Amino acid sequence: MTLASNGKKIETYKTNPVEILTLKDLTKDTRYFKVRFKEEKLNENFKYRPGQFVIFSIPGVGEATFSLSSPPTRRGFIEFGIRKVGTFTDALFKLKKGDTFHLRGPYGDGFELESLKGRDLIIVTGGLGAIPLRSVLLYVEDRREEYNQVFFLNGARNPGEMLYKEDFTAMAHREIIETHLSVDNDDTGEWPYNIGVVTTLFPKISDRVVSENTTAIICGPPIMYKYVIQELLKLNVPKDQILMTLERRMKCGQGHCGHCAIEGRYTCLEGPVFTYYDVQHIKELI
Amino acid sequence: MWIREKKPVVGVFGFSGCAGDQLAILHMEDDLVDFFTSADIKFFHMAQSHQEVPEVDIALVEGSINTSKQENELKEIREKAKIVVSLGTCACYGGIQYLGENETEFKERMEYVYGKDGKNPEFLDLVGQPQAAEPISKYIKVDIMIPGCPIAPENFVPIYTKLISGLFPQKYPYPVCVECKYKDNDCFLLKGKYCLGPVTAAGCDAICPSLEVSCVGCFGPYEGSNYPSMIEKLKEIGLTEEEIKRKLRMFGGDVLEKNLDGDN
Amino acid sequence: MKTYKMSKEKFPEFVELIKTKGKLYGPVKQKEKYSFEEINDHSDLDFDYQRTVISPKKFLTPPRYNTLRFVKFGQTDVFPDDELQIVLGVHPCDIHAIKILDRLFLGNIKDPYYAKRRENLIIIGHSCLPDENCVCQSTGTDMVEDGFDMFFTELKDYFLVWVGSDKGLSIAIDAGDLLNETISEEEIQEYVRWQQDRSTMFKKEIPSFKYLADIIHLNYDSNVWEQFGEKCLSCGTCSLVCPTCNCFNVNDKISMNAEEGFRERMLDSCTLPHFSMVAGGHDFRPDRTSRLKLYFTHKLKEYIGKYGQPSCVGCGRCIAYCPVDINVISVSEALLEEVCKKVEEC
Repeated sequence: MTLASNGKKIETYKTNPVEILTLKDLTKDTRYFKVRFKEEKLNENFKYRPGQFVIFSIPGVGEATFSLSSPPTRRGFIEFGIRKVGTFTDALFKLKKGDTFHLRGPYGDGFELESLKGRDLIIVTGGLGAIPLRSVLLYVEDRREEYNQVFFLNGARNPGEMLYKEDFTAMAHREIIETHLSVDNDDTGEWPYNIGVVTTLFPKISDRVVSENTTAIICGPPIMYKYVIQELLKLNVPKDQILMTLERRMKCGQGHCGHCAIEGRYTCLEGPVFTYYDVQHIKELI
Repeated sequence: MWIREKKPVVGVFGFSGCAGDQLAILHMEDDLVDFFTSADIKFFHMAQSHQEVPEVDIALVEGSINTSKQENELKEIREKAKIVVSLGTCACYGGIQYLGENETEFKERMEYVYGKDGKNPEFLDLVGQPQAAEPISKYIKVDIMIPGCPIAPENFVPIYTKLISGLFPQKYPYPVCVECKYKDNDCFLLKGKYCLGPVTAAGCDAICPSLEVSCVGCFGPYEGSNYPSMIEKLKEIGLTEEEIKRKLRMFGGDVLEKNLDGDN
Repeated sequence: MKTYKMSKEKFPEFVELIKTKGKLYGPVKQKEKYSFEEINDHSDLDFDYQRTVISPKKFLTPPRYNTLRFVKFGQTDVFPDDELQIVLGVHPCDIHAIKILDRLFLGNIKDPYYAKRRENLIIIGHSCLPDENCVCQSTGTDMVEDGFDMFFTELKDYFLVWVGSDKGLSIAIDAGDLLNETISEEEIQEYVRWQQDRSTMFKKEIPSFKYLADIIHLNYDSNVWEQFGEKCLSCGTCSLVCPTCNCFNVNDKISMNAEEGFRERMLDSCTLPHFSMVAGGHDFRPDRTSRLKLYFTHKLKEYIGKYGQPSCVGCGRCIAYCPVDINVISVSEALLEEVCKKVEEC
């Protein structure tokens, strides 16, 4: 820690140790992490918005960026869904319950759900996109009275690769949010819900969508954006009301390292949430 | 920090080459004691007397493969090692001896040196049937490459220590030019002198250009190399296509052969 | 701003004085190149230079430095020493570049490592005359009014010395008799003439610099980019020599004993192959063309949107050091030509 010229403490790279409370495999390569800050008061004071991310640090291994998957409405712990895809996650997956690592953040601007009060929401997730939007979904469930109609459409390749299967099935049963689940292929023969790509769920809600009062929040693989946006535009959802969260390489999380630049925008500061309007005006966003 | 589960077993094996990479390890005076204590070094060709190939977690393999016996031994190492690292440019790309890779030329040279009558000299019983030099990746799966002629400790240590900590180093390829500019150096190419910096993998800390010597490419090919443009640039400063390709091939081994489409 | 005069013969004494305040750096000639090196004696200095290979950004974002030290059961931040660094002989373009870096690293979110180095850096500027690669007139960075602690304009047998900060003023006060507060009308005239002469000495300009942002925007899909992409060596030189390029990579290095290590930051370049690759191997910019496009759109177009000014200061380093002539001039000329083709008159 150092002092800036104005005498204020600079803590931009300050990391906080967290302890792993629960680990659970979501799919064969994706794991649920529930962690708690070692510094007790942080568990109450750690403020974040759905869509924001943090940076994990394991000295010796390095740092990596992860979306927060828990809602800020539930305090005392934070949750992540993490796929094992690289050098950092290889190491992270070796950690056990009770082990500690460090994190810093939160970073990014996230979803301004406060400003969407009274609106209809269509939340669409595909594959790993369920991880950051789980935070949105649980937040909205906890504050359901603040929103009007809320639809949740989730797509996965097959039941085995579906993330948060228990969470989302329970969500469907709770009926606080109108939940529609789909898989591209059912290789188990036991899938009770829709079969088909996520866009095949739109007919279930389209007659009730009030376009000017709707905000769509989507996250998934690049190919999904293309088709889901087409559906939303067909329903006349305004372009600046189609919100999406994007992924880029990041090293610092605070607009300095340059890796996440898209033209001149830093995904870590101005994103990771962008609107479809942004996408149309910023080349190479998706 | 990251705490490793166990101290791994490491073997350092050597095949055809000058053994400079093993020597480079032994020359890391400040780190040498730590090298022998931070892992369980079960086999070190140059530093210990010969033994059977042991089961290891990490095998550091130096040198190119030049005989049938080496090929077999290499395959045995692969079977007994969890991670195989090609150490040095010979193991990674074939080294300078890869220049003799061409089958007919190789035969001619064999005959020139050892006679035409097809009789194998006695020593071949010891070393196996000679074959043209190849990188170890020609015969086995290689998990990670640490090139260099010889390897540079400042490049080798951080990769190796990740491996012995049970971690896998992240690949981030960049050429010698990056390290050369870190050193505030002028550019040879702009002064009409040849330099292979833009097509050579970094790791050497640009030691040659910093001493006013052009890069000859001893760390092997840089993954982001743009060969057509590089060849144009070198022609512009007066080298013939033949000279350029000869320079590129010196340490470029099998990778260069693929990139130059096999023509001469 | 306070202005003084210093006769040239007093300069060695001035160098001795500032050497007592911290570590002194300045332009030094080494064979055919110049670089900022530590100065032990005023005779090491050579102000007759156009550009160093690496700008004074090396004092603020060094090519490689550690940010964290870790041991088995703990970690501590690593900050640079608290020693004052004084850089002599910094040209206006490089001072402008530092102002741009300041905005990035000392804006809303401060980078503690940069901040610490910046606080301990004293910049003493020096006037210059352009060579064939200087394009700072196009970028409007040929003169500088702030961003330095002191600035020396070299005239016949004396310097005019501008003081640009409190730190600079305290040096001026310490310098006492070395500086003269009286500047004659004639001397002012000489300075004005010098400025006028200098402004006619520029040989190159960046075409249509004012409209470059629009020109880049209009040519986003032009195949001019492909042509540059075919030539680009992906060597990273452009970023490393650019005084405003600051992208960095981070890597943890474990020591040989496997029980301690450092987190290291190193200067990076968006023209390198894995710059935009994410975990899992997806690469948002797998080809040289898209990476070059990022380099130039970020520098010449997007910075304007953010700060009202591009992040090119016309220092001419990319012009002088890109081995295959991809630089602000060649790129903007090619793009302008594309526009001309479209509108049939230019």
